[in-house]
Amino acid sequence: MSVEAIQDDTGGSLRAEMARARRRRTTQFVVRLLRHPSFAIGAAILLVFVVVAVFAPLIAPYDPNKNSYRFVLYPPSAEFLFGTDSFGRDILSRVIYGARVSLYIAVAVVVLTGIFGVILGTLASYVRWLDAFVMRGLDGLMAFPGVLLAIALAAALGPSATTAIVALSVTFTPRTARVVRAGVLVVQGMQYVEAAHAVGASHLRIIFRYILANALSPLIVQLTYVFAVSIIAEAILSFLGVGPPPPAPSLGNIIAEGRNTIQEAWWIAVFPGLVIAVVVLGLNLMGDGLRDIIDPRQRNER
Amino acid sequence: MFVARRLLSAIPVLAVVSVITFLLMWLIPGDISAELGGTEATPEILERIREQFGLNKPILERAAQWYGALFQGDLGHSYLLNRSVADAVFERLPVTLSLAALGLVLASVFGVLLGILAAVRHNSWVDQSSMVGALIGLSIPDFWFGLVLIIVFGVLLGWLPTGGYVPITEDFLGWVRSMTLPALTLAFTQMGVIARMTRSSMLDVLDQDFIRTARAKGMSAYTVVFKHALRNALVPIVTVMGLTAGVLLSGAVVIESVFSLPGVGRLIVGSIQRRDFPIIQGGLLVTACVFVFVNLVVDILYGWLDPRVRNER
Repeated sequence: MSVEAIQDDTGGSLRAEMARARRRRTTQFVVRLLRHPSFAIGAAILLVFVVVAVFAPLIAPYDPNKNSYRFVLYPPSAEFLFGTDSFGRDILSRVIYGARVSLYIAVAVVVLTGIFGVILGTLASYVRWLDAFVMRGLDGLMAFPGVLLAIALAAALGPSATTAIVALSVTFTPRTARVVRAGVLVVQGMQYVEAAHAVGASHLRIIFRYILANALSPLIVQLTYVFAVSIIAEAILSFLGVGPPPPAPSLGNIIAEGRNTIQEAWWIAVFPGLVIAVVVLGLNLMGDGLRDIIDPRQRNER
Repeated sequence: MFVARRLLSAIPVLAVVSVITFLLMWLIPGDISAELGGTEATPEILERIREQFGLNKPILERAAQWYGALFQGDLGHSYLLNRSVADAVFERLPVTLSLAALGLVLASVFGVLLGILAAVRHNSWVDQSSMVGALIGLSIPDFWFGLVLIIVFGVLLGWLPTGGYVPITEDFLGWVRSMTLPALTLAFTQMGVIARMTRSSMLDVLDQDFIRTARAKGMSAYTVVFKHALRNALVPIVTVMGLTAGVLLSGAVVIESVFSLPGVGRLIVGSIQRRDFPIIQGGLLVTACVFVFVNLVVDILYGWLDPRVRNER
């Protein structure tokens, strides 16, 4: 009875006070992030990339798919900043539209990897008898080096953007699940979780309100790296012909097309790769900054 | 004991790997025999193709057959090459392995040296610029970097071939020339990872009391850094090298396609276009096994470098 009474008496103002404190902490966190040089530079690069991708139709100077045989293989100039390809298409416009495809795939992979990583990682650490089972499965998936499994999966399913998303999510989920599991294992042993059990909180409430809420920061850092790797991996899949197929441009398939004309036209392959490198650098900088601020002990580890 | 336990732990991993590889076949949408037969195939021809590759059998029977063959080292038969998958894959494995190994050696040597230099000159311009360089290396897609090297050294300068392969048995110098750019490509992107880990691990060790003692005893900087510090900083570095080996293995698979080297990767990629799935499966399985083996070696090296690891459960 007394607990209820206290909550009734002071609950309103106390709750408002706690909410204010939480908002203040969030603001402080954001300010600290933006003051961190790596994070700020990385975030700025990503912002430019996202804006360009989203507003591609407004920004691209030409139609990315329009062939024009008058302008075949023009080197970079004021008219065509990144040059043109063997169909006379403007590379800059193709890169801008390609950024869209790459961004779409990478974001989808990050979301799916995050969801499945959390589900598998939490299940493995929260449900004891599932742990060994899930972890051996994940070990098996991680035994395929790099993006090789994604290449094979995409080959079996047939080339498309959806295929690339599925294949890359399957490839990157295991490591993410491990990160989540490690975080949950630590938090799970904390006394306040035990206290929550003792007052009879439901499992779902404990998982979401008590455990995940406090175990998510390594996941966020991990997902920044998944974002970065997804952009490179999409390019690899497209380059090998199992990503989103031409003529619709993706950063990877422009490079693949550029490879065929590498002797006479270096610009086709060079510019889209340069864009990838800059964006991935931005994401890595963001990830490093986030990690420095969230968990300074982990600095320099990957 | 330690080694035996590590060996045993590889078995469930290999089991899962084989299941995933087998199930890959089951993911293929549509009727593969129609693709193999081409547009002019009669129903009889299609039926013969299905019969020949067991495509008309239920999945469990195919699994039994596949595993039965696998335990005898038979990876099945190619749809199109008219030869066994094992022959085709193992014939090309040395190219992939030598490329990955060359890449690992280059990445390790330069990565460790760069990392040590950065740690010893902590917070100097050497440290900062080498770490920025490492981050840039990490962010560059390796296959694209390979293309850039081809453009610069192959097309513009003409110093090295733009692609193709010369077997080491035929012409050693030709082999070196054909492997230089691919190996540099692989090494460049992974060097950063190793350099970063070497630096942080060395910084941890250089901070410890026994290093100060060694310095106080008047040992030369060289002995302190290479004999005392490096040996103790090695465990995390070796871990990263193990991870790197896997990345290099899959990197080699992609880089082969860039430089037209006849390795397992190019075999797999070529088979994707031809829809020759037994080859894709076989190549995937063999590469994964090599990776599991590399990780096993790294684990065992661990125990050798740091005896404390041996007693952990």
